[in-house]
Amino acid sequence: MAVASAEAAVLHRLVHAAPGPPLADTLPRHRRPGRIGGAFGRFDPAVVAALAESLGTRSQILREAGVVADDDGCRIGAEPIRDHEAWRGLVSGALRWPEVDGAFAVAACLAPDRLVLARDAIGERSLYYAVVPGGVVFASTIHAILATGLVPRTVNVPALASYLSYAYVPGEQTMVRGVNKLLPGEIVEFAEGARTRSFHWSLPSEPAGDPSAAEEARLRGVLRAALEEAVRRRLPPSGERVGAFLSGGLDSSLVAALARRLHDGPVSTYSVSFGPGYANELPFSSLVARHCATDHRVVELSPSVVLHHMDDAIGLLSDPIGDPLTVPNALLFREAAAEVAVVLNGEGGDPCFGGPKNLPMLLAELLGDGENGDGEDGHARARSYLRAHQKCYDDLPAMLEDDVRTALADAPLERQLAPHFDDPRFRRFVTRLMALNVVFKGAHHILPKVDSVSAPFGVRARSPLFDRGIVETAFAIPPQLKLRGSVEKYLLKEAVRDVLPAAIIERPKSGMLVPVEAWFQGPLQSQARERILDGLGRSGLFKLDYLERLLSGRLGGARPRRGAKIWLLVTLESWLRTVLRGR
Amino acid sequence: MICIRCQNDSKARERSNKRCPSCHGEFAFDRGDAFTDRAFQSAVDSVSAEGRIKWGVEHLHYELCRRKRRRGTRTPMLMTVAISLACVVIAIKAASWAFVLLAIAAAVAAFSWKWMLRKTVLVRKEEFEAIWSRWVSVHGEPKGRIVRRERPAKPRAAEADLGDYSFDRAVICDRARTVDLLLANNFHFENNCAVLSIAGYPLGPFETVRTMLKRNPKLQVFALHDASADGCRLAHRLAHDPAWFGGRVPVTDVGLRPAHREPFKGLFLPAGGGRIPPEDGITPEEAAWLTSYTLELAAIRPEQVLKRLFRAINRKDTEEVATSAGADSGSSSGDSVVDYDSSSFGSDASDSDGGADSFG
Repeated sequence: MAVASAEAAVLHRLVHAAPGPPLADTLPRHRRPGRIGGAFGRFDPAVVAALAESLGTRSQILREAGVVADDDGCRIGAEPIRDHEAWRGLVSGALRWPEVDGAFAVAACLAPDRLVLARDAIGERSLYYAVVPGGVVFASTIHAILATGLVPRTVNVPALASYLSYAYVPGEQTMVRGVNKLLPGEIVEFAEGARTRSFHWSLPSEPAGDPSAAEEARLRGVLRAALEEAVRRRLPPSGERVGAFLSGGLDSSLVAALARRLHDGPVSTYSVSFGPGYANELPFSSLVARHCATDHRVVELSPSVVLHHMDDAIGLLSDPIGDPLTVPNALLFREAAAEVAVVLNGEGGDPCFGGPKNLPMLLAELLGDGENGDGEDGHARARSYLRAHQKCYDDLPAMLEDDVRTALADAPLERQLAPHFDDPRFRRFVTRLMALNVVFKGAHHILPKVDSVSAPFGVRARSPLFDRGIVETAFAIPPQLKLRGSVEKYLLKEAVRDVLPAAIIERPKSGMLVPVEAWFQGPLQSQARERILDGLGRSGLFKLDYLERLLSGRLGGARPRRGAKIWLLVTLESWLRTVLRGR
Repeated sequence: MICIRCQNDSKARERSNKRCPSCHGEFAFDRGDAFTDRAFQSAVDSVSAEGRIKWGVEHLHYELCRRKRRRGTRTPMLMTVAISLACVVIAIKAASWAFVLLAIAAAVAAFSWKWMLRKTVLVRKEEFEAIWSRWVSVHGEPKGRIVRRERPAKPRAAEADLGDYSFDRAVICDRARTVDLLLANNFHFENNCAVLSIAGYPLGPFETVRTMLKRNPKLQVFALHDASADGCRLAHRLAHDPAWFGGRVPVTDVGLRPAHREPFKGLFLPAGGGRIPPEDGITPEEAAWLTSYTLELAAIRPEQVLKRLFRAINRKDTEEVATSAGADSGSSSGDSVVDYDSSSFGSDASDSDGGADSFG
């Protein structure tokens, strides 16, 4: 630990994260309440035991005529949910689902032949299930479902293609064939051998009318109030220390700044650095930390530390998420857990108020997508959207073995997107894109990642910008006030201009910088090669020639994006080994 | 001659009707033609970066020009070097100054020959068209060639808000075919970057997109052009013309200028437009050269054009970040709204793409 400067001695600490023990060693510190699971039907007791063991010491296993809930900060109307009676009321129909707000995954069996599973509106908690001989098994994690031994450990090829295109698996399917997940806001009911799906919440319709100056001022006030309420309700009890991740971007900065204003206890902020020689955003995060007078920690992660914890961190994910921030996020939670019980983050700002895919998609609409060719099969927009993720969508033909690609012959990825682009609730193009980003990326990438890599450390990770009220407010704002010219998150910036330094409000766009390109050309090159060629090269899924070309930098093209693609595959290899095969 | 279908190497006497004796596939070219099938295929591979970049026939034309210069370079060079060495050996053995002088003369001849062959030979347009037609008739159209598509007057989306936004940057070109090159390779899509021509291409969305650009007061504008009089005036015009940016945003010239001409000797075209005055962004030295010559952007391989643009954008972004973090951007230019990107068009296309490492 080193002091950055005498002047900032109290505020700034540089933490050199040592490799330390595997993340798994901290698992006994499970967050309360624990994960949920159960087996509905006729099963050997060993099945339930396997579920319980996989879910950990604080797990909640559904027994007959019971309710289990993995929830955080839930309320019905203005009334906080304090025990399972409220969930019983919701499942029995005494209370109304649309009025429940907060993070939850709930399972209830109030009659011998009726199982109800429900997931929160935005997707802060996850819930998976599989219909197997004898009944239904469900759990908060795919690991637990696989542990029952009732589901073959088989890769679901359309989900694999989704993962390679998005870096996550959106939709009902998962990477394990036969295992489904609840969508955000979904209720799945099993009764008399049939499955019924319904939704207790979905994105609100877009209001009519164009933005005026008066309307802008009104909406700015509404948004500010919603932001303060979303942060306030996620704070720990009065006087207790709260943590906040601080990347130096607008979203995490505004959450930290509002927490500082609204909380009467100390605030700790945490930033990540990848060490000397790699780009970082520390000047911006340090600026915010100074501005807000937080106790600031810069956690420095060397490539060897990232590699050391890669399998442990990726092994926490139910579906693979090829985001290079997964491992740094897990390690930040590890550091934060030593000091705080609640960690706020700025996740959600992009999907609700901006999104890096909006401008490319507009350009594709106006000037065409050069990769789409002349054939118009109704999927042009979907293909552009998949391509806009800048992962491996266009590489799939060269990447996947021919027999694997037969499962993609009827364009499942493109068809999955079609209803979203035709959704009658939205009239404007950018609103459609933002809705897709909330439903896809929010509920299948960001929130599951945050939950997966925070829970083992016993901390509650909370995302105020994914608050249901914030999402509803965001969709009541015309898209022209979110994407103003080419300025993303315009109204969000205006709503918090008084609490942040101007340099943060006005800074150029940037995602979180992770030096994957440099890592895979340097310190992690041999490891990546070994993992990808030995692991994926022999899986029967990938063409070895493609993998060789990718690793040796011969993939070519004007912009090969080699680092991001290698990270995607390294993550997949790790997930297949640690989660699917359970080694 | 090697068949590109089956890789069989055959002699002229083994072929009948220009067909491969092994697979009976037809050759496009035969002995006496300017190129072999394999050389032509190799040119297509180069211009398309092994099939990864889309290209226009004009790029292939220039690629063939570059290839023509290499034909026959090795044998005369080796023979002349051999003669020089032989003369040196004889001079040493016979102790004769005559042979020393002969060796020097041969060496000078060798280097002169090499210098002459370094000059690229322009394949005449009619000759190229004949070669191209022959190739297409035998082997079909190569993959990746850009074919201009008429873009609809209205975008495919029905949503009314499409024109309500703006973009981070724009590349404005002096030619429609350069716009085609960038759009076909999805440069716009990958870089939040509108691409238009100065003359109003693509016609359908042109005015909508130009209006959108004017909504961004921090727009980055790049001018991409030939080394021609009109091309070299492009950045100046974009910066000052009220119909474009009228002094509101700076314009960076990333096009070809006479200063870049050195590696492209032999590919210059006659200008044929009278004396060019040194004004509107053209220096007196440039004006003198532009009065006689032009050099088309198509003389550069598409991959290099794209990578040069990536680099220019990355530089601009880095400057912006440095400025926002309080550093001096260090940019300087005589014209406050036109900035000349001085990095040259190199011949190496293997540079990094700038490595976007941003996630979130």
